[in-house]
Parts: sequence; structure tokens; C-alpha cells
Amino acid sequence: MREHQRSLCGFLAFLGCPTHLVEDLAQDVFLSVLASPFEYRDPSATRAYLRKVGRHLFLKTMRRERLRAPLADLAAAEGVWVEHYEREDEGESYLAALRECLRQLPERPREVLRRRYEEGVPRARIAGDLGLGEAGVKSILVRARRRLRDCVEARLES
Amino acid sequence: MSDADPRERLIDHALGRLHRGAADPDLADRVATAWERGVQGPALDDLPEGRSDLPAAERGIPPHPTRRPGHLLAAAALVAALLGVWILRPFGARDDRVVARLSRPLPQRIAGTWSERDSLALESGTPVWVDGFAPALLHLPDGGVLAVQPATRFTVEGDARGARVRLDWGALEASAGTRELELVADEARVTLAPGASVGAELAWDRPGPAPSELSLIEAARLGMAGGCGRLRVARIAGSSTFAGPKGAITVPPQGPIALALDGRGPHPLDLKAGRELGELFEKALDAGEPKSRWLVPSKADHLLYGTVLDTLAAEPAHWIDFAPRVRQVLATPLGARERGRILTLLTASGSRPAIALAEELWIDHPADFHPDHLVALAELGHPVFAEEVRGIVLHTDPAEREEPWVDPKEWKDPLLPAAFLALRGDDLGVAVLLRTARGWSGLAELKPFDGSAVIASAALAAGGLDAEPWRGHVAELERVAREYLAQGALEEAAWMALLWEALQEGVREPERFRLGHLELRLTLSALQRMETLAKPDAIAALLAELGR
Repeated sequence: MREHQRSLCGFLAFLGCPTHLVEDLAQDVFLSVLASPFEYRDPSATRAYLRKVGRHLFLKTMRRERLRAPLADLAAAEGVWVEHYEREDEGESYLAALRECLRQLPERPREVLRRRYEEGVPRARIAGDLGLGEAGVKSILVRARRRLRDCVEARLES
Repeated sequence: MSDADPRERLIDHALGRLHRGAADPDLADRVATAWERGVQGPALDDLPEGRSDLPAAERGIPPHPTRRPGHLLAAAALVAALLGVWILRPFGARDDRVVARLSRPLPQRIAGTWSERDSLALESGTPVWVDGFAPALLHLPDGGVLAVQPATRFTVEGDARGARVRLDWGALEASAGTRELELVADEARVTLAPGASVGAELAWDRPGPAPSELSLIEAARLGMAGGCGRLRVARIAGSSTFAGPKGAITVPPQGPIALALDGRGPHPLDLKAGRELGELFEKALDAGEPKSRWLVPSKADHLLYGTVLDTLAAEPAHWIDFAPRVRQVLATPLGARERGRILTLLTASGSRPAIALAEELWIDHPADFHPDHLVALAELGHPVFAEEVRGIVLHTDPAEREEPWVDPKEWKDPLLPAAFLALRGDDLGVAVLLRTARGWSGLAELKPFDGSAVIASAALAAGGLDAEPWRGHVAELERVAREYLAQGALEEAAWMALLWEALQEGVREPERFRLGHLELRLTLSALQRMETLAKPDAIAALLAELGR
């Protein structure tokens, strides 16, 4: 369980599971798997199985809570997760590439990203502090994320 | 956001992970504890996409359990215990007693006991409680379906002729299958011909806690099953017979009809007032933007809201026509502020149709919900909104803040949410409230009919309902009110006195104190009483009375 919980929680969060439900949902996944017939093959197959159960339970939870999943096609999203992020090292190479790409970003978008993700500051307050409009901050975030995405994917391919 | 690009979502996730720097949760202990308690998690064959496409099944290999010996022992003990209980119990869930299947497990009272269990199978004569946020569907063997609203208690009995649904309180839509379906509430009775359908609500007219705030067992203990008032029915389709103690009518399958069934027998409901309310409300929404961020800043708005709320409270059947009107307005292009004003009305009403509309808005426009709306809904017992209120408070506390890498929330004023938590004994709520209180000293600057002042004042008072901060806050209110009185600022003095009075009521009956509605209710009360408080003597008398 300890071997897979980090990967599972990360995957559920990536799908868009509200923060306060991630751990509960992961617990449900483990309990459901414990209570059902399950054949151990290898760590990779187990992770795939847990992801699939997680995806189903996530969908069920969102329907029950009448919430909308941010990603329309969860199966395709899982493919992206496995291909780009999880790989064989549970996202370490992706995060390493992201660190490098972040260093290449200009100071301003880097600061906006830091305040948004590290401090959780709302866009409106960042905008006020930097003397920008809220739409301007949104645009910086969108452009920065897109640039980082292209940079990370290029690094991983090379 | 339902069409978000997974690759962009991945970057969002990774950025959060990179900046988060917190340790990963360790679930092993809690999962093991839950497993040993007998919790098994959701059944995998009930999953939306089915169990059959899971990897082991895909490979066509017969799976076998691989559990730790400790878990095997625990599972064996659990099975033995359950078997024992099943054999010994006086009223079992035998298949021949199952009269319907539910779309999700619901709490059902075990006959003859003060216990309840969650189950998908509904036994004949077992009271069921629809909890939570979402309606539940109930499928009858003959194809009949009940869509039951949250906070509804009902019982289904079945025999060869068909099913009989007894509504203790709440609301549902019933569609008969191939056999007749009978809907019973107190002495009222509706018989649906095969294929017919009706919407029905049993009005809750007696004082005391609202059923939505109670569990099935608590409500049963309080003896709240009887004396609920009258059944209101809107026929949707098909032929139905409506019967009360003083007569019965059979309605042919044409056209809509709305009826009340009570001691007078079936009689049509006058919906004209509901239509007029809808038109009035629509015109008021077109009248222009409010001047401040508070949703109902003008006296005219408050008076309109008072009229609408009073009319709907006196005859909730007006919702039959008013709700579609509001829904129509919401379907037009509206600004967040207009939606906010509608939300104020809906949350202040607190009735089932109003809450249903608020839930619809929550799905599409969660950002339009201000803290007072969320708190009002949380105070009605909605766990989803209670969680959201808690999220606002958590988000303001750096020590407890949720990871920003998942769906970061926009900042919302935590004062009222913190007060909501503080009133329920939550330490974090108290801490946030006291920290905010230290930086707030605005009583002397408050203006009459200033919504933000009411909120701040109520929140601060609520945080210290039985402690020093409350006494300090009241002393400050009294001082400012007397200062205004001495200066001849009568409206300001009266406003402060009324605010004090409202908070005083909160101290006397904290369990009935409604933070989310306070601003609107206080303003309405002030509009009605300002005339009687127009003279210094009247204000001084009220202050003296409050000080005693």
C-alpha cells in the first residue's frame, strides 16, 4: 500500500478530485481492492489496476457529489499521465525536467507561478500586487504553463 | 472546464507538486484500521464503467485473493459475525420483503430498534431517509420510479395489487409502472393509474428543527413523523385520483393541475400570486446594478425580498409557478451580481425548491456564491456547503491550507465561515475569528443598513457567545449606540440597538441562530421598526431593556 499510495493520490488529484476527498477516495480504492478478487502480478500492473479502480470511483464520487470532472475523457487523461508523468520513476524525471524549464522562464512569470502555486494567492491579489489586471495575470499563467508544458515534453523526448 | 487539456492539467499538477514541499500522506494505518472495522469500500461490480474491463478480467485469468493473513482472519471473523447477526436478527432483509431497489444506499431504520443501516434494497414497511445533497431514485419491480428529494422520509409497502408509498415528510416525484401506485400522506391519498406521474410535497408546518437538520433516528426520537400539515400535489401526466378525508376527485389525463390535500379535501391551489411574484422579481432584477458588493443594498430590494419571502412562506405552493420563473431568469445571460441577488433570496427562503435552484446554480456558477450564501446553506445541514465553508477558513490559515496544486480556491472573506465553525466548537474557526477580531475596530464607522457591518458584528459576536469577546463586543455596541443617541443620530442609534437585539437572541438560542440569514432578516426587521424607533425615548427604552 505504501508503495502505491503516492502514485494513486497524485493520479486522483490530477483527475481533478477535490483536495479534501483525495485521501478518502484513495482509502476507498484500497479497501475495494482488498475486498475484491485481486491477483498480484508486478508493481506496474498493480499501479494500473489501482488507477483504473480509482478512475471509476472518482467518476462515481463526482456524480454523487454532482460535481463536474475537469477532464472530459478520463481514459485519455490516464494515458497522458502514464506516458508523460508516471513512467518508471513515478514522475521524478518529469519534475526534474520541470525544474530545469522553470529556471529558463523570465522572472515575472516565475514569480506569478510561485505566488500562485506555493502561496496559493488568488489571481486578483497577485494582480493588485503587481499592478496588473486580473486578466493579465490569468494570461501570464496560461502562457507560462503552456511554455513549460512544451519545454518539459521536449526534454523528456530527448 | 470540462474540456481541459490533460497535458495542461498535468503541468498544473506538477507545478503544485514542485512548490508544495509537503510530505505525502500515509494511508496504510487508516486503511488497515478501516478494514479491521469491517469497512470494505464501494463494490467494484457497481462501478459506472463496470468491473469487467479491469486488468485481471481483461487477461481472462481467474483472479484469486492475495490478502495478508491478519486480514484473512479479520475477514473470516467479520463473515462469521455477519452470519450470526443474519441468523439471529428478528427482522431480516429477506428477498421476499424487498419491494424496491435504490440508486444509492440510504439509511433505513431497522424495525423495532434504534439502529439504522445503509442499503440498496428496500424492504416493505421500512422507513427510509434520503440524506445528503442529491436526490435518490427508487425502482419498483413493475417499472415504477420514485425520484426522492434530499431530506425526505418515506416508507414503501408492496402487495399483489401494487406499491403504496407513505410520505412522512419531504418531496418526491412518482411515476407508476404497469400497476397502480398509491401515495399516502396523513389522511391524503393519491392513486396513480398505470403510467401516470405526479410531483408531491408534504409541507412541514410545525415549528422546531427542520427535518433536513436531523438524522432519521433523531427525527424518530423527537416524534416528528406526524402532524406535518398538508400534501401539495402537481399532476405531471396521466390519470390520477386525489382523495382527502372530505372527498375525492379523479382527474382525467389532460393538462397540468396543482392541488392541496388537507382537512378540506382536495382543492385547487391558486397560483396567481406565484406568477405575480415572478414578474415582480424579474422587473426588480432588471432595475439596475446594486451599488455595493452586498447583494441587497437598497431598502427597495429588501422590501421586495421581504414581500417575496413572506408570500412564499405563507403559501409554499407558489413555488410551483415561481421556481420556473426564476429558472427562466437564470437561463438568460446574467451577471454574477444578479445571480448573487437571486441566491440571496433562495438561501434566505431555505425551502426545498429554493435549495434545489441554489444547487443548480452551484454546479454552473460556484464562484457567485458569497460566504453568507454558503453559510446559510451549510446551516440548513448541507454537507457539501459545510465542507466548502470549512474550505474557506482552511484556505486562510497558512498552517492548515490545502495544497494549492489541486484546484486553488479564490480568496473569500473567512469571517462568517469562521463564525459558523466557531459556533460549532471548531478550534480553527475560533482561532481565525479571534485573529480577525484583533484587527477589526469598525463599529463606530458603521452606517445603518450596511450589510458588511452586520456580518462582521454577527461573526465577532458568534465567536464569543459564551466568552469575553462577546461581552466586549456587546459593550462596544452599547457604547456606540448611546454615542449616536447623544449626538441625535437616531437612525444610527436605532440600527445599533437592533443589531444588539438580534445578537442577543443569538446568545439566548445559539442553536437557532442563523448567521447566513442575519443581514437580510435584520434589515427587514429594521425597515418595519424604524418608524417606532424614530424618537430618542423609544431608542433609549430599547437600549435599557437590552442592558437588563
